[in-house]
Amino acid sequence: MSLFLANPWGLLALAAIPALLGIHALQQRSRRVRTSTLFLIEHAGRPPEGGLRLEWVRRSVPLLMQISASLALAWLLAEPQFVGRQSRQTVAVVLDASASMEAFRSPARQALGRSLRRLAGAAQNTDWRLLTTGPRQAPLYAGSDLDGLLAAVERWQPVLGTHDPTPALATAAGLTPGGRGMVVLVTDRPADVPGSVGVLAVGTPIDNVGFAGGDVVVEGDDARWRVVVTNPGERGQERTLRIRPPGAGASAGNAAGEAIAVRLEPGQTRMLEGGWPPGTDTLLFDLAPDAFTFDDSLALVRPRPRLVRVAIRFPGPTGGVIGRMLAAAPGVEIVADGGAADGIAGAGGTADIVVAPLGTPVDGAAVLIPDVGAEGDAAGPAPLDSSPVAAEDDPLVNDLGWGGLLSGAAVPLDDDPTDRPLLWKGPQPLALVRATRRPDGTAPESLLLAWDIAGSTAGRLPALVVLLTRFVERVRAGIDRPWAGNFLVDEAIAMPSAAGDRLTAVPLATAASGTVSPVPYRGRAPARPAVFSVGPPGAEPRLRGATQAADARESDFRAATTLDTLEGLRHEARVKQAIADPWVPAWLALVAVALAIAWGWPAWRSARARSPSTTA
Amino acid sequence: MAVGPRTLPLHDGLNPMSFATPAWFLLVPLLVAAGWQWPALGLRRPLRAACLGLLVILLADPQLRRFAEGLDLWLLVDRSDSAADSLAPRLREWETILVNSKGPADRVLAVDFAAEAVTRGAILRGGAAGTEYAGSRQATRLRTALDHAIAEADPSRAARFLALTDGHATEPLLGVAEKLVDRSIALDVRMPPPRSTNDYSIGRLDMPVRVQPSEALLIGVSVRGGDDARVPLEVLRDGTRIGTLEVDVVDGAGRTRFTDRLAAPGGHRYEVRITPTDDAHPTNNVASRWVQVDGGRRVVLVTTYVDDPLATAIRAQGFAVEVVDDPRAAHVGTLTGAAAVILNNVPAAALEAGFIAALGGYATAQGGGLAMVGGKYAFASGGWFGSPLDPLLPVSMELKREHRKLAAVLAMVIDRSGSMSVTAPGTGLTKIELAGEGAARAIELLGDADLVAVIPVDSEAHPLSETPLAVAKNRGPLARAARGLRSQGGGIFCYVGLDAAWKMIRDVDVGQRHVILFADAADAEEPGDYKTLLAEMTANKCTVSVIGLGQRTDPDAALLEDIAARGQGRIFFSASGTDLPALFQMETAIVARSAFLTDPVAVRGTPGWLEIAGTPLEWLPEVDAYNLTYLRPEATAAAITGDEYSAPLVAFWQRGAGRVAAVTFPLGGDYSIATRAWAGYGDAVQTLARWLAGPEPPAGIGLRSRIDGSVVRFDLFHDDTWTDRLAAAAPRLTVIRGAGGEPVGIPWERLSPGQFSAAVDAADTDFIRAAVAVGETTLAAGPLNVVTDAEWSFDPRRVEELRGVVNRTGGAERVDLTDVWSAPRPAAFRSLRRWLLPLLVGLVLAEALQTQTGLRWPARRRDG
Repeated sequence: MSLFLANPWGLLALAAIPALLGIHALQQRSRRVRTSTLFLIEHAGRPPEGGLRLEWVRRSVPLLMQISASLALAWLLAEPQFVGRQSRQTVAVVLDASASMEAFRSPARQALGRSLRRLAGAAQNTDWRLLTTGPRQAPLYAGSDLDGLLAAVERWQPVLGTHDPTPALATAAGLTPGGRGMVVLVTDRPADVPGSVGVLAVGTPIDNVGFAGGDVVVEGDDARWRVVVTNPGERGQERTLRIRPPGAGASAGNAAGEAIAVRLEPGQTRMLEGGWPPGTDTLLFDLAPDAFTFDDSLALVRPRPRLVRVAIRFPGPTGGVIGRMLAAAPGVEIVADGGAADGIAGAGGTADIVVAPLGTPVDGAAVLIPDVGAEGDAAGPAPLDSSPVAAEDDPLVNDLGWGGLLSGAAVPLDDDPTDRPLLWKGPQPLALVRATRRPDGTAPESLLLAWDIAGSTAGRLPALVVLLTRFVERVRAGIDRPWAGNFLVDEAIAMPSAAGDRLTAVPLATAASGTVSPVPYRGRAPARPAVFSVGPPGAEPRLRGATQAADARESDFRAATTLDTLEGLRHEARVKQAIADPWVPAWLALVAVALAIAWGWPAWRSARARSPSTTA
Repeated sequence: MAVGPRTLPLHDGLNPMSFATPAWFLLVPLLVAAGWQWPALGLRRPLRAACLGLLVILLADPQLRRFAEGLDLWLLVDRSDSAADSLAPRLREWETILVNSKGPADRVLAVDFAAEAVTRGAILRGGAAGTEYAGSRQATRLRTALDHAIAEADPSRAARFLALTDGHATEPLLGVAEKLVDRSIALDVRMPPPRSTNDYSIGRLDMPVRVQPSEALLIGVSVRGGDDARVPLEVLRDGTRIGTLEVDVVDGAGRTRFTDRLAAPGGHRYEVRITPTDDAHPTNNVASRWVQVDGGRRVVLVTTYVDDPLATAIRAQGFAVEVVDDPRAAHVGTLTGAAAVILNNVPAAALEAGFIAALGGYATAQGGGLAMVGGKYAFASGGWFGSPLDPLLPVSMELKREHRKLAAVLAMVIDRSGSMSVTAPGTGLTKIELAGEGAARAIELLGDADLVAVIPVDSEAHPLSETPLAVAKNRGPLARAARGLRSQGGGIFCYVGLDAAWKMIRDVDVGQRHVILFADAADAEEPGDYKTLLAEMTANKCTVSVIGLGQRTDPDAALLEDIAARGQGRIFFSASGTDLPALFQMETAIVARSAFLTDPVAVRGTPGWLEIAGTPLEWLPEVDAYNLTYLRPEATAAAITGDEYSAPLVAFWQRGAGRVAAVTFPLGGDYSIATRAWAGYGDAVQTLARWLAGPEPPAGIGLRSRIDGSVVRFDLFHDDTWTDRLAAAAPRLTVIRGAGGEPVGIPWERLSPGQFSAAVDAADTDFIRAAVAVGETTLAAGPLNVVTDAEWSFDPRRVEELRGVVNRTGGAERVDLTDVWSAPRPAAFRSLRRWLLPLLVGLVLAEALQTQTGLRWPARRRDG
């Protein structure tokens, strides 16, 4: 059983020991007594001289007994508590997954080792849990071996931007059953947590300069890179920025690549830019490493967007209007070949979106609008319907203003169970999305605009442009052609996934040598700054990309601090698990016996000295 | 069920001390015998005898009584509507089990709670049975009940709490566990199984968060219910019914949709109500949702004037102006999308408390502009002293030098009926305590020459003094007496209170006579011939104001409003009671402090005007009247009076993200003739309005909010031009819960380049408002709400939170209720060993010293 003292101040009673030593160092000086019997002097001890004097303490049974009694009393006053053999607790450690913790991995490991060993003493048996605050990061450890937990800390990946730890703390609290346990949050700055959560903050304010972001601006055949460098600290800093293609070393002594001196005042952020060198698809940017290396490297790839090809297969000017609106979206190309195999628009063609008349069979994504045609032209525009246009709560039409849309009545549409209405005019849907299921299981969507576009104010309505742009983006997310882009760490990537896709990521912070093993692709960019590719093994990658640090707030260490609030929780846990010393009466009896011996010893010794065997 | 006395003397018939193992005292004769048998031990020496005696006492383990015998079991009985069906049929049985299984020294006490908490046995409402819970049942305030029980529990007895509830509290249990642990009180819980009945309720209310003016918005209502039926549905917009529908409920569900159009910008609240004929719980038949109409930046002018000239002047600047000429119609939605709010000579009593409470967050967090313009009903004269707006203004209404026309006598009639014994939510104080605090603050606010009478009333008047007392000599004792008021049960007899007050102050020879009547708007009885009485009072220059506890919709609110109207006074309503002290202060300040000076005074401009204007202003030579105030430190005065006060006439400052200004002279109505003829009037008003409205929202950044279940999600989108600015200073999201909540920061997650996102759980509040600070700009959103009714949201997290508190306090979820009595109890005694052991150490040392040195008392030298 382990032991702790509920009243450590009780050990002050040990001060009685030097007091006793001092008392016993006082000897009475004896008085002179005239006697005629010299033989008595033979049996006298050191002749007392009268008064008090200090002498070295002689070995003395009463002194030893009184010291023994003092020791026992000090033990009782300290109120020893014994942790029961069957006592059990659960300690759930939650590691902050924010990127700023990368600068404090080592202090975190050391502080955890120290603190958790102390926490383990609160119960005979401890179940350990190790989690992170990352919403998509699996628990790291569950078991009863503290060394196993500390080893699992090595798998901790603090790579996220600023986020709320509350859900993780709630999960951890649920792991501590019946209140027998505690939750410990390891972070680098003060955290607002419930009173039952202990905080172990291991941060310190450090100077840091890092990348706050970057992008590539492509204008025709030319491109320019732009990076943002920030110094959130309290002092001015100078760094050298090196720009190099992949493969060139990043050491300070390597002259490969361009070097730019950067001076940043306290709190300053600067945007640097330059022309993209020909012949390379990827550039690496390195700042001289400092205490926080997570933001000292940045990679950019020259973007190669997935163009959305739009074919206009609609007679008359209306198709052109829609086509121009679609072309206003970024990354859209108007193509001629819309495909028309077997009379189905889009089939066999290269277009991703086909603009066609309502009722046209389609294969793939389409924007379908009514073909008023010659009849409409002859009769003139349809009379306007004064019914208001009401929008559904749908991402395609949210926050768009349709009050300016004046049109005729909605064209009746046949019912389809896959229809998702977007706009209503009276009881009729004015716009909807319809999914057409293919034999291969895919279901491309078509946007049906069920009114006479030309005979309405739609051509002047920004909301329609935005709707079409949003539709284009949905189609783009489903295009399966090679492309390249720049992402934030752990960013969700909108692209169709295949079962065999692998993610191959080369972290920027690792050495250039060594192979990188592909891992299954999970729909997100790598969790660290890296250059990566996604695709089936051995084939051309479907996506090439680079990730950069997500959050400039993680580069700011001004609020980093050291804090430990675990002691109170540890004491509370120990008190719950411990029992008081059951031998208190025995200790008191020991005190009584010791005192009795101390008091009776001089008389007993004198009696022994006077016994006949001792007299000559 | 027996309800024991509220307190029990600690040692009433009980030993204050005890010995855990008294058998050790049998050692005493043995020790005596040993001392006699072996005199060499010297046990007769005093110190040695004391050592042994103390040892024996320590062996016997002396203990001091901490608690009286027995356990007080406090039942916290959930009387809310949501628990009625599952809990009510079982309560009597459970309570009987507990009473029958308790020990002889144990007691069972109860606190009934729903929206309020009250100890059972306190008469809550006059006319009620006295033992029935008669408060609102439309909330489950378990934390309030726990706070109430902690305050009521006798500290001299061991206590344990047992909550009989369905666990779905409507407020978080923050901080309760620590309080219970501190008091060594364990919380157990017994939750009934749910029971299904034929209950119709509104499941969902779907509508967009934001629309353009005059754009059709689509509203969907889902109804869930028991039997198939056609359920009538009523739709209200901003409190006004706009239509009725019917919903066919088939197989437990029904849905309907309709459209509406909103032209007026701002926030608008839709409410839908179903009225089925056979419904187990009618209180879950209402749902509401706010929608924001984006109409561009506008200035809201709340005014009491007809054809307010400020509106014309501000419109000439190019601003859209929304004139609110019925101040009571202003609500929190009025602030939505407003660039600035101007209160032009509007008294505090004319505005809804929620609107006033919301102004603080609107200005400081959401970056709005706020201005108060002077007049007879502005600043202190308008009852704004001590209001939530007071600390925002750049001028102080606290008069540092006395300026009063006449001494005043103030009589405060305080309702001390049973309804005042309930705890005000979130405060831990009863309503009578809050009212007493208000009366005390009123006394502290009065001048030395004033007189005051405090008259607690139930069915009779119980004045604290026979005659009104001069404040000068009696301020402290009167204030203490007011703070000591306690509820005595019954209802309040209004006529008795007014009559008593009038009789006390009728013959007092002072310039002002005023009565404040504080009464429960749901239980103000016996008005008697109050009309005749009030006519007599006002004829003799006595005014009467009313502070009503409750809402305007309460049964007796109309009576109280009539009393205030006939008394030529003001009326304030306090729904929860938490703002009672401030209301008493506000009302007293109006009466006792005359701060609207109606003599013309010269105007002196200062260079401060150039902080908000590009060119100096040619000020008018004098104003006809002004509200006397004092400039606050750090505020800027643009113009001051030329009299001895040098008081600010125009002042302004930055408050948080927003801007606040005070113009202390009238810009319209009476006392403004010269002002309106001033050539610089339009320039001054437009400059001020432009400054208040702040900068235009920047391009390239936008805030979007959406409702996702019980969570409000905020997404901030920005283009490339913001990348480096946001890298230097990340956007900050602040959320305000309810009308007057404190702004709280919420962390953003950066999801992708150009997008930040955050989610806020809004299940436990009526609505939230948000503000995003981006550089120098603030983007505002809200009000937004998620729940149909917190009482019926059945948030499972509340149950988990309750279980967490139970665990932390050492309680348990009880199935067998009799286990409560056998659960570990806090120790009734505390061991004294910790204090006696050091004494023994001292005695041992003293004995050793005496033995070693031979010292004696009286000192004797030992023979050699």
